[in-house]
Amino acid sequence: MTATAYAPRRRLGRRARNRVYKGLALVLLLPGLAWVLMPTLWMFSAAFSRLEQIMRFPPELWPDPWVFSNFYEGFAFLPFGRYFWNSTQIAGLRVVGQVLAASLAGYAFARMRAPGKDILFVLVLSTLMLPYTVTMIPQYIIFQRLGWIDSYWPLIVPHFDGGAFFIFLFRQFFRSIPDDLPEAARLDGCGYFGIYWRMMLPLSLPVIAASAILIFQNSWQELLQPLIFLHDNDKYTIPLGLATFRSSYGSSPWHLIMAVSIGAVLPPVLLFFIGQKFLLTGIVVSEK
Amino acid sequence: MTAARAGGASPAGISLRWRETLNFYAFLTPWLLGFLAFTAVPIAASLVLGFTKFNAIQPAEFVGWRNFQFLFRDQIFWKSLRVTLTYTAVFVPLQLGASLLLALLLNLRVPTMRTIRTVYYLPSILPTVVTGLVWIWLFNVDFGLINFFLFKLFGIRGPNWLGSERWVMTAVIVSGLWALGSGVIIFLAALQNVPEELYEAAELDGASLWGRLWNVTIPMISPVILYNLMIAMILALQVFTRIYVLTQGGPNYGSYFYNLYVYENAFSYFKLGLASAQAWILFVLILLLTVLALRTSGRWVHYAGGA
Repeated sequence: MTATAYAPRRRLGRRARNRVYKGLALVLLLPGLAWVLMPTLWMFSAAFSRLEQIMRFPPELWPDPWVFSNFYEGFAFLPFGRYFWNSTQIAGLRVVGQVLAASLAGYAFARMRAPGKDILFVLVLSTLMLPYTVTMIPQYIIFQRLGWIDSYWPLIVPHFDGGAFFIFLFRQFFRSIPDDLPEAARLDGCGYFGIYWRMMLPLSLPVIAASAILIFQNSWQELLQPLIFLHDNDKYTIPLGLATFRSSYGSSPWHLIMAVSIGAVLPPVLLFFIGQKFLLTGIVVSEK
Repeated sequence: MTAARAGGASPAGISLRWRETLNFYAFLTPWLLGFLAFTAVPIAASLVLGFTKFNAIQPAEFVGWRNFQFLFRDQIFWKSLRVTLTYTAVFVPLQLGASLLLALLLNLRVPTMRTIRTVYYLPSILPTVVTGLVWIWLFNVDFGLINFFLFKLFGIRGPNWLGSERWVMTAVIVSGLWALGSGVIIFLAALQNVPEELYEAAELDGASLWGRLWNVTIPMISPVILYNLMIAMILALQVFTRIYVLTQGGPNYGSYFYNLYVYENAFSYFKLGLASAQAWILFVLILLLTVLALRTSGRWVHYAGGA
């Protein structure tokens, strides 16, 4: 593998060849962009169009005229404000609890020794294979006995185990921190929790941000759990409200549904743009 | 590590060891409690329920293997299984291949790449219910953009995607391939962890683009390929939300995915025992497929210096 072994036969220089590859990559990627953007563009266009315009063939993507009252009407038509607040509460509590639990467990697996640790870690990972439908019915019975049906607890509390993927993410990150850092803190008189709370947690900000974004998205789009545990329309989340609407009214007022959809899409999109730079780095540092 | 070194045989060492163990379990308490209450106990309970007739109101009645016997004679059960397995067999390889290709392209250092990456990730951020609603419209036989483009570009009159049993699976797969983001991001992270020196060495040896891909990239990220493969498989066998919005299982059960049937048995008809039996069949299927993937992975997965 020495550099001087032989001069490779090639017509183009290395740099020119790399440029050709990159050009080819762009040629492949750019048409894909249209495909990826098409549904989103249609959503925007429909949200600002009159219903008659959406029903036209060939499709017209540019709203004419622009109708802003779709939003006003749509938000009144579904109690969107209430659904929005419900979804926000659930996602907020879930993010806090799940990040905390996952970081605690990840830290324990990464930096502590105890009998039973390896078996427990295998157990954590094996929960990835468990279909939700297996635990769904006993969970329903448990929550029914607790009187938690039609409350948000069944959507939040079961996630306070941290979740296998996030525990793994934190564990990988905490393993990558050099030993002498916590050693120094220990000499300064920090206990296990002190080291975790005052030193490790602040260091893991990229992982916290990446997990928070992903957990928020999971919670914000969850349908099956709200479908099972929430019956009172006042308690509905946004996905449940939209799905119920679709099954009871078919799909007639498309312009209004799409206006509401834009409202539903905004929080995860904004959160993504705010935390974007952490999302990849949070996972990259963890995979090392 | 550090506690052990300080330990040795002294009594203080034993207490340090103990302190570490106690702290370990204290840190793990949220997971342990959650795991026991919402995973371990429910798994056992649903296995027991699978052998009962239970509607959540009257007490459960033990029925032996009758739930399983019923399912094995139930045509809709077999159809839902066939729909789900067909989807998994077609969708997972496509998804994996497309995600890997996309990640390789997005990993190149090109000026606008950050923006392009963001746009490709966008579909995964949008809630599935919302994108499901959008796809209903895109697949609309008369006004939908898909049929419009088919007609415009190829002069083809597109089918009634969601309304015909013949095409509905294609529609479900196409709409699934639209949101590749989460697999792509895990591949991207893995690609960024491949040491640059390996590529330089390969290049100096005169390896072609293909050679570098096949002999450096693929082996280096193979553990992540295995991970993504298993997760994709597990998720494909559990599709629910997208179907619930897109087709509700129709037409003629043509997109009646397994979990949709479990859900309806459990919460539309309150046959909780039968649904538990169904859920366990899927669980066993997932376990078998996962073990199969892990067993065959020894041949192609390469672990460099302990992942």
